[in-house]
Amino acid sequence: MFDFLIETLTRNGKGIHAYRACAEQGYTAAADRPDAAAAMFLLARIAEAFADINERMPITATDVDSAFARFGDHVQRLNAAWNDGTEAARLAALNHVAGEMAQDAA
Amino acid sequence: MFSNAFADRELMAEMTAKMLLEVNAVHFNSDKPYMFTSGIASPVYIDCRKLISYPRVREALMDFSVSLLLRDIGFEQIDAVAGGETAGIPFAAWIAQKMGLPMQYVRKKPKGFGRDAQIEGEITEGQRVLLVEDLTTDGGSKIKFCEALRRAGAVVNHTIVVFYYDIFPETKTMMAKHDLTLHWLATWHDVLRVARKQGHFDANTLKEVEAFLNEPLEWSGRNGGSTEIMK
Repeated sequence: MFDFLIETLTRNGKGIHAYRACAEQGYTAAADRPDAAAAMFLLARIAEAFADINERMPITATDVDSAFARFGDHVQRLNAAWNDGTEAARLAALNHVAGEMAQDAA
Repeated sequence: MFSNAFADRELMAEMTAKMLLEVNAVHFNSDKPYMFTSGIASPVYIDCRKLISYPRVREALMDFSVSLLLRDIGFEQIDAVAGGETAGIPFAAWIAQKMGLPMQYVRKKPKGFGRDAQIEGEITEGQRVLLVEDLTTDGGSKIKFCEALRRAGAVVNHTIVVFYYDIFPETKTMMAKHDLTLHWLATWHDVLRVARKQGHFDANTLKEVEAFLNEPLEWSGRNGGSTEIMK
């Protein structure tokens, strides 16, 4: 369900431009897919925040790998919840991802 | 106003490189490569924002910039100076001050509504605006800022930066495609030359930096980065 965002990051080199492209696709998908809008929106916001925070900063290849792994974890969690199919699993996954975002923003 | 001195271009490049090294704006690290916005891995990183904290350095650089602009573009060819948010804004202010011109700045994203939503300051139809930023890697942000200024009615054909990476031939081609001429004070090649001359950094680091400057995409691929410039 959400793997296309990982593919976008990979295809675009995992740099800031890649995260901008990922955010754009995520926001578009949130508008187009009411059944997964909240999850798409969260992933798009994560990608946008990464690009905003790190643009023109001395980010290392290690930082980029670590951010990519973290984004991949979010995608996997949401994929699993959407495959599970229950509303409870989806809500729990959304709350988990949103909680981590809040911790990062604090 | 500026000092009215027209220094030799090579001397300005060398002096600019010296100043960048002196204020520790230049970082070389081949063990832990940096990642450009385009996904290219690189052993070099430069922080031109540091320059604003050094009054003598910034004064010299802005004098260089103005003399370069007057020589290359002309004395009466620019009507206003626009800084790109955020690093370009202080440099634009100093250049505008020295040239006695109005100033604007361009936001990365629109705020509010209308064709001027990305511009702060007054802009008039047909105004010939110089776009100022601190540096250029692949030129992508210049194009975006330029498009925003043009949407607001400005005529934008020139942009100036303190530092130009000068490692991707595509940069100049892309700028030319958008009718934009890039002006700059120094490049990585100038910094490497001065770093060698003055004994900054060890020989291995400088060798690795030179390898990157000669073949950036190959170096990037060998160090975990992209092998093509992503837009």
